[in-house]
Amino acid sequence: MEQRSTEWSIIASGEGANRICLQYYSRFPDPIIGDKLLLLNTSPTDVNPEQTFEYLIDRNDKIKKIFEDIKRERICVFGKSPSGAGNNWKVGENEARDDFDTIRRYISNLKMRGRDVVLGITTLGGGTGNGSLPYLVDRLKTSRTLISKEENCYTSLGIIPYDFEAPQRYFNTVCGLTRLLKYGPHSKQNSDMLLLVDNSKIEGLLNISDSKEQERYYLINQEIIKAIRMIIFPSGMQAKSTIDIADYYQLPSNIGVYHFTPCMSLGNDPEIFELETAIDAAAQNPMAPLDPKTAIMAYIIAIAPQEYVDNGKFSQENLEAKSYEWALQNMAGKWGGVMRYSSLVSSPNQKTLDLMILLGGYSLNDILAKCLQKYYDFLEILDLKKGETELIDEQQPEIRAKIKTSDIEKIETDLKEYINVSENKIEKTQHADTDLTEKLKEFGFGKRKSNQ
Amino acid sequence: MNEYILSTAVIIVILAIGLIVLIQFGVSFAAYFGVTIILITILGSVLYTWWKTKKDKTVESLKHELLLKIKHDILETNENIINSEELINQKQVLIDLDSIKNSFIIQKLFDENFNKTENFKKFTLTHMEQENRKTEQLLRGLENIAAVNYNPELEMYIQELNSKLDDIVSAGYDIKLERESYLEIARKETTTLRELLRKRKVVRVEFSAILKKCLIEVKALLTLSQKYGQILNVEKKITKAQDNLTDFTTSVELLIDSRVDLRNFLSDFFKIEYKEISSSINSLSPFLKDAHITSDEKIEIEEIIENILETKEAGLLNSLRDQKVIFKNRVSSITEHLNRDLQILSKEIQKYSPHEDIWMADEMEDPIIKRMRVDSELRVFTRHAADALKYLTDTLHNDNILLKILKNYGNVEPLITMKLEQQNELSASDLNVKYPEKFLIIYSKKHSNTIYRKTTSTLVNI
Repeated sequence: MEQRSTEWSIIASGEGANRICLQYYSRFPDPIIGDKLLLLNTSPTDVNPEQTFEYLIDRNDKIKKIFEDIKRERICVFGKSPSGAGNNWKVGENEARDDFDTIRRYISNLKMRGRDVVLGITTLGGGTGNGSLPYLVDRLKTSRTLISKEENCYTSLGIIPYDFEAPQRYFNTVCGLTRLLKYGPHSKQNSDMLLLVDNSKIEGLLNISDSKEQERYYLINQEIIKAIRMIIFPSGMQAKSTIDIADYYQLPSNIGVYHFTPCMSLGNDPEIFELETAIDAAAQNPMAPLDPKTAIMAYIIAIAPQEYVDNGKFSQENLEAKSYEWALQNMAGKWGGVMRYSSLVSSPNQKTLDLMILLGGYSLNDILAKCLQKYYDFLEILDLKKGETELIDEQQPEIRAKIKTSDIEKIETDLKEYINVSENKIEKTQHADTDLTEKLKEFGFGKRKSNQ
Repeated sequence: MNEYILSTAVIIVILAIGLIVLIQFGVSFAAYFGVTIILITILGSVLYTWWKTKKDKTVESLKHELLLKIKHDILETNENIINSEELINQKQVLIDLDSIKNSFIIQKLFDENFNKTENFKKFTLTHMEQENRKTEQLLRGLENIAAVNYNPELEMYIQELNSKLDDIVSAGYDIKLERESYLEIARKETTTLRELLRKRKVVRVEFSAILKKCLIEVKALLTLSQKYGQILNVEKKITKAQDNLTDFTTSVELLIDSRVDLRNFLSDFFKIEYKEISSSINSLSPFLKDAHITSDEKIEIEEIIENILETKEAGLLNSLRDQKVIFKNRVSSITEHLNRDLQILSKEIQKYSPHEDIWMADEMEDPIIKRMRVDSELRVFTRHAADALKYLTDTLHNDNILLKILKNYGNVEPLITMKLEQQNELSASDLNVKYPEKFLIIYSKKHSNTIYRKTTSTLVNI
């Protein structure tokens, strides 16, 4: 059977995700993705390249051309409302359900094959992407033949809103995050892997709070794109130790904890930085609020200039050794988590030492601490006494959708259940106290009688 | 054919005109017209026949031309054979040629002085053509015999000239390119006598041009030597060589003697200059290998140095001096380039606004560069160039490191903060980056609540 490398497709739903996707396509052409991207939106005006590149000088003809190239087959406007989902995730979900056949046709055009990765991107504070993406992932996973005959991997990237955003956004965030983790009447695992990044956290890391709004968006998106690229990199030929997509999602899915966040340290001078320092620096830059001490899984990916790998300054063995040392001191448990992969990628075009730690299974405490206050504040003002409420967009009253108490209760139950499993794994990892002597005895060791 | 068409056309036209005249003016006028036309036609025919006779070649003229050709061929072969006698006696060939000539004199086609006679009219054209072909064959055969005799002599002659060129080269004359050209001509394949004679002529022209070049060179060397003293005997030799340039043996000997004399005369002066420039190269070479100098610049300066060091003959004193100037100019341009790089680097560093204790724009730079002048004495130039190159390469090295540190500081600063929070103090050895002390110093300048202790290389929270 012919061996082929895994290819990635991006399905970006909602305005924010559309921007990231357009930026990726126009600025970071990637052979692994190529033009296999799909921009979904409920409002045609939201899929606008001018907004994505507003602060750039050269946005005119080049961007228009890119937009024209992908407009026909790669942009799908779904739903009946001409003005979008009105920041209501339920509308986004309903519209995706109603127009699924249209969306499916566009997905078929991506010509994905078995074992390819579908990367779904959405901002968690919005309505269109946040509502539609969890539904689409579930629908595509449960009807496998819609994409290809073989199994595909569904990775989702959820972007947590800025700290200053309104409670409604955080209500959407909690709902969206939960539905990406678990979906359907039986609360099954939805995304195979959920990547979480936080706009405010990235802005802080980049130190760009004084920049103009459009420039900030652009730079934050760029950082997210770099993280995606670093996740993809170790599946290539230049990796000293390959990390395939199955390595990313299988074990986390098996243990029932599959949320991750990248921590990045980019642009390090390979002459100045040692791997150890780059790992330390990356750990200082998580793209969402988290405590590494609670992380139970880590993928440590370093991309180094070819010459420094060839001359032995950086090596796979050294990366593994330093990753181990770092994990012992900084991750959960006495073994430095339960799962760890390290991969050194050498590239002749690379000038700097870039390093990413993809931390997984960490406690969601810090993220939810940021979200839950506003979530409950928003929930308080919803009139759910009759068992349901109708969310209406004040500016666009025609956009409305009913949310039932049972929907909310299910979301909360699913999230609590996931957190329960996650915290349980952390606890077990931190306090693993298997009695080796007992276990050895169980295996039949220590029964031989001494001759003396 | 054209003549018939023309005649027919003219007759038709005349008849037509005659008919018109008859209808318009009557019989008498037409009769006058007819008589006039007949007279004009008779006159025209006579003139045409005469002209045609003159134009066409007659048998006589053909025989005349053949005779002239025979004479030309014989004389040309004669001349070529006589020319070839410069290298070898061709007496037998000339006797055979004379017998060919005599055969024509006997037939009285030519007189004793080999001038054409009128006797040829008695012979038929066929006879003359046969004589011409026979003569051509005989002459070709004679020329071949002459060429076979001549070829080894010409080879020997070329070899002799070549060995003279060896002597000229040994004497130190720079005729590398000219000699290549000479050898190329000498290698050219030649078979006929005419080609061999032409080859000898070209070889002589080429050799003569080489001698003229040597003359110019030795005159230049004489002029240089005269700055150190009078050398009348050499002057005389050179004048004599110039007067006898066509006599290759004499002129070559004189040119060689002159150059050897001048070389001996200049030997001590050359040694002094060679030592001076070698010393300059030794002093500047280490700086010219610095990593900040581009590979193209390195290749170029290495070539210049190699050429200088290979110039070990006193007769090349002038060349040594020219190369010294080239060396100084190149060193100067490298210095300017390094200076430009340093200025760009300084601007880059200034963007990071480093604390003045860490880096300051250097005021030394300008005077160090400016005092290095290519028109100053080599010794002085070398000293100033060494100072400038050392200063520039050292500063470039240090500033490059500093720029790298400043560029990476943003990534290292949070690590230092983290480690300081954990331990309250941080030693350079605990910060696993290159140049850890520098990072700690910069940190201490940016964070007033910390101090860097140089003695222990430790950053401490105050």
